[in-house]
Amino acid sequence: MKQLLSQVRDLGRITGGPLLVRGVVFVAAFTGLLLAAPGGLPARMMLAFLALAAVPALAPGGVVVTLVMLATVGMWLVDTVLFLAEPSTGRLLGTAVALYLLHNAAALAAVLPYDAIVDNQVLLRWAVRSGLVLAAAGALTVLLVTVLPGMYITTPTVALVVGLAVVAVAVALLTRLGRRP
Amino acid sequence: MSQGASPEGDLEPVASTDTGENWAPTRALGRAVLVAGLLLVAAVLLGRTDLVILAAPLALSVAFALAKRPRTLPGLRLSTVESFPVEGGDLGATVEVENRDITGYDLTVVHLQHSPWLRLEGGAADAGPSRRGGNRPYVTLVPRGVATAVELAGPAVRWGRHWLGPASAHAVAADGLLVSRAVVTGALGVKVYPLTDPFKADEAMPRAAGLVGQHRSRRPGEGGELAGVRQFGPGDRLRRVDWRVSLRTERLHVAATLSDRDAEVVVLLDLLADAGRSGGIGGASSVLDRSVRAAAAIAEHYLHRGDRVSVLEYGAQARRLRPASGRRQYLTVLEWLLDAHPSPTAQERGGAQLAAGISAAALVVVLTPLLDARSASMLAGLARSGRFVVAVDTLPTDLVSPPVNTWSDVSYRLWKAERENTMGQLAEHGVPVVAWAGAGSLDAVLRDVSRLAAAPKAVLR
Repeated sequence: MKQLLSQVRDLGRITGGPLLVRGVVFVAAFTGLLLAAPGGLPARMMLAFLALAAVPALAPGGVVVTLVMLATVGMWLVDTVLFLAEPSTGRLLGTAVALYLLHNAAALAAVLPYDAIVDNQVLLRWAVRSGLVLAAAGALTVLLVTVLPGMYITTPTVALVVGLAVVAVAVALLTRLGRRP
Repeated sequence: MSQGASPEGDLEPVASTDTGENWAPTRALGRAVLVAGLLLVAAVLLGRTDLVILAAPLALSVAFALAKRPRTLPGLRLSTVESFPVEGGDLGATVEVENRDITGYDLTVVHLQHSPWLRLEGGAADAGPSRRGGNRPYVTLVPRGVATAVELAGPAVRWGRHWLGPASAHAVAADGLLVSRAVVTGALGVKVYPLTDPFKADEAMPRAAGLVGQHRSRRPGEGGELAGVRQFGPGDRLRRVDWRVSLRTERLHVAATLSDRDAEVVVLLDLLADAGRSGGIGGASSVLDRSVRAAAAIAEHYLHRGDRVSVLEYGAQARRLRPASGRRQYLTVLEWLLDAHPSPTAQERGGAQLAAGISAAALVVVLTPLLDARSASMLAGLARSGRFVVAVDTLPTDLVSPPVNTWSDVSYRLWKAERENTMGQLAEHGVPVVAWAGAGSLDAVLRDVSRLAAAPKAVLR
């Protein structure tokens, strides 16, 4: 009880910068879930999405952010693989941006103490770098959509093995980037 | 927060080049790699390009962020403006973070711990109250090769030796994927001198002792105070001749004066017990606060008049500051008072033992809350030893007894009655007890003490 009262009292110390970043986390999580979810869901699910999206905003440093991202991807797969939905490019791009913003804003919120006095330049730099990444990803998306014939590609087994090997190399490279001195 | 070029000089601690120890990946890095990897594997297995598009921003952001990795720790330095503030005066501190790395930090989180009596606030000077707050972390941008300073300022609200620091900082780089080890500085000591209550005493000292000073003594000699007119005698100076009286009486008469002498004042702080809660300047005062501020005021007043002042402690430490005069002694007294703390002890010297170290001509001002029975015994012992003693009651007037049970109020009133009884007994022993009230507090009692000093008295030896 004393700990709860202390936490409620601490809420009064929250400052604008961290609150803004956590707000971005919430909006990105909710938007991602909303866009990835199959159509025709009951209104009750919206409330569930709202509650689910609030969790990463409250605990941006926890594993729950990963779970919400995986839930978004899972719903996307359910909609497109099981229900055979044909998502529009806009919906696809929106989901990709929401997924990235959820990850990126949660990474920032996790390192910002909730009661910190934040220099505006920090948030500005973060926004600019996010914009650059999204621009590059957008260009890649346009390229893929233009070059490839559609969302589904039938591949021979050899191509599958080569593709998996490329993915393994890419993941290993990213992991090594994080570890190398 | 302000930015400036990197200054010369060491920023502690010296950063190591071992990145493996200095920088650690955050959970965000693992998350990005995991989700991007799963999406890409699923894309290959299912032959879906939409999953590649979903994974693209995550994979790109990791590659983009980790292309340039930081290697060294941020430098950190804590400094303060070397001023000597009194209570309520402003104090400034600067925490400087330097980035000597090949890449800029996304942000640096700076924490500064300090005494609760230092109300330091940071942020821009024109920022609103929501952006200025004490004991908060500060997040600032530190680009490559630049030192950023977080400036904090605010009043020191209570006297004493306070601590400023340690300051700590950790940097975040690679879009939140890497976080540095915390860098910590040492702590600084800050001296805040007590605010002297306004104090003034016009009454004569009971017995002036030295050769020079501003008090008229009770002995004839060279001075400015007229003592009377008497017949001219051998050794009298011609400029002392009172011509008007000499013409009238047809005999040479001279104006006799009293010599001007200085005096010794001993301020005795009773530190056996403390009571009340200190709220700093502008708030409630504890016994210790009132004692220290009153001691500073009394010392300042008498030292300004050219007297010699010494300070003694009645407590476990039994510290003593030898008598001296002048502004240097005033600063020494203030420094001495910073180390005054309640120091209860089982065995304390009696008044007679204390009196052995005090000049017989000195005025002893005892600042005591009269909470301990031994304090009253000490006062009586000093008076019996022939010292001129004035007791100043430093118990706060607004002190209230916390109600514990139904008998609390009755016991509190009984205790107050007993205390007043003790004060009456002390007055009968020739020790006037007066409540501290700033200017003019001691005038009434000094008059009585001076009158007593002029009268013959029996002294126990």
